[in-house]
Amino acid sequence: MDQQPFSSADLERRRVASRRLGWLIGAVALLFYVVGLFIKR
Amino acid sequence: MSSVTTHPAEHPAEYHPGGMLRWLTTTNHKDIGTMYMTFSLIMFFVGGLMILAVRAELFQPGLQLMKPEFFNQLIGVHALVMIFAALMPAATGFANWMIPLMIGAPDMALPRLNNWGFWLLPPAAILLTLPFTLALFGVGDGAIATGWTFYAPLSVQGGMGVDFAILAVHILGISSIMGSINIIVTIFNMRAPGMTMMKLPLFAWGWLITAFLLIATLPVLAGAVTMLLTDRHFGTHFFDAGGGGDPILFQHLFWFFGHPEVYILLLPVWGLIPHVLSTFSRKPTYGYKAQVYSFIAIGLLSVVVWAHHFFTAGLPVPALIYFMFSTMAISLPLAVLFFCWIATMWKGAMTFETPMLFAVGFIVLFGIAGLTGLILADVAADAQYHHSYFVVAHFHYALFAGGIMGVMTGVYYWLPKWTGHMYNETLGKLHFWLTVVSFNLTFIPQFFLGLAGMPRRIPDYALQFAEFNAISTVGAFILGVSQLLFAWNVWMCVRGGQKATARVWEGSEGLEWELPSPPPHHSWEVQPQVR
Repeated sequence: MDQQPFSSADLERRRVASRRLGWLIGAVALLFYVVGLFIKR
Repeated sequence: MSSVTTHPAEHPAEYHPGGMLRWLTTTNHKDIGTMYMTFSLIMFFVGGLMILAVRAELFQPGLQLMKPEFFNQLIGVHALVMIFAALMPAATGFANWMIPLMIGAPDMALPRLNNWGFWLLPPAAILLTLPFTLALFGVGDGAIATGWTFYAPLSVQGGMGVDFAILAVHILGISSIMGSINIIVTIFNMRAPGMTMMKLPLFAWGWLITAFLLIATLPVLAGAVTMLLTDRHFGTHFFDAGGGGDPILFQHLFWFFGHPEVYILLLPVWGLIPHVLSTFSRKPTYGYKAQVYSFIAIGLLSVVVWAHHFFTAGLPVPALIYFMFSTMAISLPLAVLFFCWIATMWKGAMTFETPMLFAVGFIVLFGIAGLTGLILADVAADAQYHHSYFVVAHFHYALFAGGIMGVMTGVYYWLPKWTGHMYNETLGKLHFWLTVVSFNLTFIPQFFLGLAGMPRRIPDYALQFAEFNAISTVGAFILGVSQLLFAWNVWMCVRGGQKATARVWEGSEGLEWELPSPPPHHSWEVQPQVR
């Protein structure tokens, strides 16, 4: 197993991507909740 | 290339307060995992005490210890506590501890969200149980008495405990969605170089599917209980037939969440079992890809089968047939998993340390849950068994033998990695045998009670059910007391004991075993490369 230190830049890039995806998933969950309340049977 | 280890002033992760402040402010995945596990263990005993009171009442016919209203409250809160405050946090604790270690990440991707997700849990647990205490002081009429399913119209008419439970479920749902977001983005974005999705440990795969199921279904539960709240207090009639609403709509909405919830509780366990079987059989996991595709298939099927929980509510015949066959279809990917688990052990150099005992016990007992589930999935048979003790026995084989024994498998397997100490093996094995024997003593009689027609959720029963109920209660008390051995073993292991090596087990494979036991504060300061 080759090993090298994590670079700050790489970690920051991964965290930014995670935050973006996190907000997107959170928004989808909120959308399910809000839209669901207005669906008529 | 620079390292992430920098001066504390430049790097907030170097801030290590002591005492309670450490636990309140921590963003370290291992600390948060420990908090989830501790919370889960405490709530496991809280939920267990509630059901022991119920079993004591059912020891013999007639009302002995409590009023029927209190009996109903204990049953409902027992289920809510065990599902939302014991099993789910245990699985999230595993995820926090193990996913970064397994995929070579320095921490979860969103550490502050992680902290927030955990600290929402204790207030929610207090909200669930507070109405019991308030009732002692004459405030309100106790906790939610509808069962964990909140069925309308009973829940529309219920007392203050329903409002507390609705609020608690909203908070628990938000916490779980936060945890799910964190797990998804960590698995997608924080994997070590070379760890492709098809090299991802099965535990992480199980959790990935679980997280997507939570994101898809928890908002539906939240929506249903919000509508319930507005029915109760704001003059709407979503579920009130008298105002043009439909109580069956609530059942559809609840079980659209409730059935995937079963797999939410079980998929993390199905993910960890192959690791344990492979370690103690000293063989690679059999059928890795087949297991991954089975997880995905079960995840997809789980959201299209919900109505088998209320076959008797008067659904149209085509719907009954569809839900029967789609439910039975889940047994196909599940059978693939069983086959892979057994094939992993086949001709292996097996040894039976406590985690392996629990894993094998899990396979046998969870198999009974699967087989009795097939019986309940049959529309014609379900008309006989619905709302009987047969159902109670079935879902305890799924959620105790499948869920809680699975969690215990994971705790015994990873505890030396977490604490740096070996647990007491003799005590572990004693705990296993007492648990298996007393669990069956508790729940096998309940299958027969159900077949004989005893309905669930009643504090009193006809004389012909007396013997089986007495046996079941004796089993439940042995089961409850034997869990103290588990708590004692864990506590002693945390405090000290024989030092654990990095690899801990002879047959263990994977990144998590490359780190020392216990792992350093920052899990992977040096990035591993997976080939």
